[in-house]
Amino acid sequence: MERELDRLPVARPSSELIVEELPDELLVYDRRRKHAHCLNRTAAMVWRRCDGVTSLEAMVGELEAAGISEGRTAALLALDELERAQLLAPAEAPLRAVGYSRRRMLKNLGIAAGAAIAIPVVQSIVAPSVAEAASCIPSGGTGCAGGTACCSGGTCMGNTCF
Amino acid sequence: MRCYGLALEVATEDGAILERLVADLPPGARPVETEAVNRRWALRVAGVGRPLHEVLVDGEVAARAPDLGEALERLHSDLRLYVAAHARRRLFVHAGVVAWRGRAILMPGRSLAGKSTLTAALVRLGATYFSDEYAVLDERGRVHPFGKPLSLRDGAGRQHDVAVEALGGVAGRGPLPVGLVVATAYRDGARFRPRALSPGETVLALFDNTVAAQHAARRALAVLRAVSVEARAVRGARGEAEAAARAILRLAGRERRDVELPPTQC
Repeated sequence: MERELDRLPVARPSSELIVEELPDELLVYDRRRKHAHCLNRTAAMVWRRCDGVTSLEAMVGELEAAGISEGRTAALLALDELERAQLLAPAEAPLRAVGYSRRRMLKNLGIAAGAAIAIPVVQSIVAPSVAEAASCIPSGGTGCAGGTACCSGGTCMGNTCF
Repeated sequence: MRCYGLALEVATEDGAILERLVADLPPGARPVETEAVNRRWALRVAGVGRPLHEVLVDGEVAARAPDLGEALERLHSDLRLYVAAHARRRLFVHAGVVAWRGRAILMPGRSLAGKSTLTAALVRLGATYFSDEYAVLDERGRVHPFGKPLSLRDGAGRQHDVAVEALGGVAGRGPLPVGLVVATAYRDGARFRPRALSPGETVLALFDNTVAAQHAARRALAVLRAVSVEARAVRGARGEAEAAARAILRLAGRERRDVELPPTQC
């Protein structure tokens, strides 16, 4: 089955990431890109096995042993999610799976029993800068056109508070 | 002064200005004698004839304003943000915070999300005021008061400081565990029908408003994890503040067994 992927997936090096475990989820912070990700159980299981050694077949076996039906579909979708989130080591070309269609696989999972839990999900946000987390922009400061308000008495003109 | 583990200096040559300068320092700030400071702020009056107030940060002019109040607000706002970004033992999350029945309610959100309005509505309904700007969290995930006047906007969108007592409320004292996180923002005409968040989604909602998210990510995620495993969390747009505040207090007052189980995964 490993021939279905054009290479064995490898996660980004741990030196670039901060990982925090939750009971059913995994939080991953990408220090280089300053993105925070929440991986659900299926996505986390697959990501942990992206070591350049574990085959797709072995990933599928682990998912199905954990009670996740449609293991192959779930594993391929997870790899797709992880690649989109840039949690896999960069390569010259994206990871390709033979005969893989995200839409068809989501449909398959949708009709499988218990699929709501099996669908791998990676939610991502960009960590705010200190300025983005400010309550208001003082007089002379810029950025008010982006949504942050000017401080008391200030008026946003263009992108600057006056 | 010492403030959240930082050594800070504020200075002015005008005694009357100094009084106003000191009056609005962040809570917990205490005077100390030290020469080694992390950052210096100064306010000086410049200009000939028409006064111009200059705010200096580490000796560099950061802002000029003819109005003293505006200059003071610039200085205090910059000082609070510096403390929020660099506090050694506390994590600052941009959020409104009240207490209800012994637990804190956190409402993370960026500027213009309506945090202060919602916080004020909760206080008018009897919740205890903690902050309308920052949730100050310790390593156990408990929230500490960050007492300052509420910054409420008038119809023209201008901010005014309002003491919590003027709303008929009281300010909280000790740290409290977080019972509920409400990720919400005002949307005209919206009805508050929030959906439950998983612990991971709760962390993301808080991290998205954490001042030191980028340079203290490891500490931030550990603290927010501690919050997420203890607290329930919901997300949803809200309309009018009072209706949303009533719904939030109903949610916060419910026992865990009465509440629909939240998702365990993001």
